[in-house]
Amino acid sequence: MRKKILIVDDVDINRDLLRAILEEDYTVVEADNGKKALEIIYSMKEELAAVLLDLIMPEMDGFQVLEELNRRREIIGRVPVLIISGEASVEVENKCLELGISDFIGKPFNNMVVKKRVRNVVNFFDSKNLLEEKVAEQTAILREANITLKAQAEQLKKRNQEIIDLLGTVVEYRNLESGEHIQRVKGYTKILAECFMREYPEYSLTQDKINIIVSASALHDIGKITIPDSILQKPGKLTKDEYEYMKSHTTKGCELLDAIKSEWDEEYKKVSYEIIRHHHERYDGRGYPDGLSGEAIPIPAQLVSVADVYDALVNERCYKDAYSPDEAFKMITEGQCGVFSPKLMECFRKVRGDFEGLAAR
Amino acid sequence: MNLKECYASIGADYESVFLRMGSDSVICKFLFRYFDRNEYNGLEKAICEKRWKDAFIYAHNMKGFALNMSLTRLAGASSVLCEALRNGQPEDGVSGMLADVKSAYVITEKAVGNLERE
Repeated sequence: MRKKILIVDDVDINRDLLRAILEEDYTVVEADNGKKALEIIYSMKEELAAVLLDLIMPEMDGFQVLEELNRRREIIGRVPVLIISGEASVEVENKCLELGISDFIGKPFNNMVVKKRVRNVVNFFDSKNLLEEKVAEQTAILREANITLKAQAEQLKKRNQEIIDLLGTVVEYRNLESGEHIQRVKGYTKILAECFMREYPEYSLTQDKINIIVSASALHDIGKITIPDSILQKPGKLTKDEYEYMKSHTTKGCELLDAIKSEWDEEYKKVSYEIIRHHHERYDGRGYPDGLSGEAIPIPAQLVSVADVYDALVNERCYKDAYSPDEAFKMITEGQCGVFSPKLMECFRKVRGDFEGLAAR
Repeated sequence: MNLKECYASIGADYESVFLRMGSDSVICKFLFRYFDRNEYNGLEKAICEKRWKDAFIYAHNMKGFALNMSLTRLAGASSVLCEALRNGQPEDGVSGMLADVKSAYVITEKAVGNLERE
């Protein structure tokens, strides 16, 4: 299809002069004033290859047309405007260029020069428009891909959560720990972790990471499904051998985790692993299974160990009665249940009220 | 009278217009069209009636055409008048400037009238 050129000039002879130059290559459309020009530009903008605009005209002059087009940037950016005028001062040319024109052709003009300059501008805008369309197309594709990726990430997150929930259900079903214990440990872990994030930003805890830690805390005793009931539910004190066997729930839990071959987010797996293996480690190195000490104990495990001990203390177990929250607080802060990190204890003191509120529910 | 002689008789620049427009017949076509409609009358009437904005547009259009056609004298006279009318309030001596335009216009019109029409 032939490209269309709009010639805007109030003098028909001038329009005819330009038509004679351009009609060999383009279909020429004419307007004899600015208002008509705008109507044509708005209705034909997709089809117009260029606008040749006179400046001095009755009704609406060329400057007003340019100002109006500038209010609709998408047009001046898409359809090139060339000024053809006898107003050839530097000021006028500069003003037109600032208003976004593509070329300024003064009078008298040379027919061949007009023809070539129009062709150059049309070709340039053709390439530019094509490139912009391609970029817009690619951007839309990328945006679409990004939405899909986000949806997949959400799906994966959901799947990670489902794996943890499933394993947590196994622990509950085996009646190793009551469902309430698991829920409370999650609650204490969350309270302590959020305080720790606020107080010690140098550990780079984030709410996302805390959410993972809280979910994974449900698995801290998963290894107990491998421990016989005769040991787990023994009302009295365990023998040395029984105690050693009981301690293996930390490492056996990790073996269980390793057996999961399904696609599982690395971070979820790492945090779960740290909690299951190390939630009985103590800050002075006297915990188990690895005797880690100080900062070598992963933060998720440290958080869950305080939560787990606190809940065990304030609730009745087959081997002991429940302590009061006051007693539990004292026992933990005085190191009667093993030594915890001083920073963690600082947080524990700060959130004591929140722990007691949750324990009372 | 042919086009080259016509231009020479009024001190207009034939070489320039031919170089830019490329053909005598095209140049003649536009000259005939322009002078057949007596553009000068519109300009004179607008000035007499003190319609300065209209007068400016007439003068401006005459200048543009004369420049394109290399009608040197008419382009010069209409350009002077055009600038005098530009700001909507005419400067002193507009009637003298108009007389110069008329003189150049009449001479050119007459020369074009003597051109052989196909």
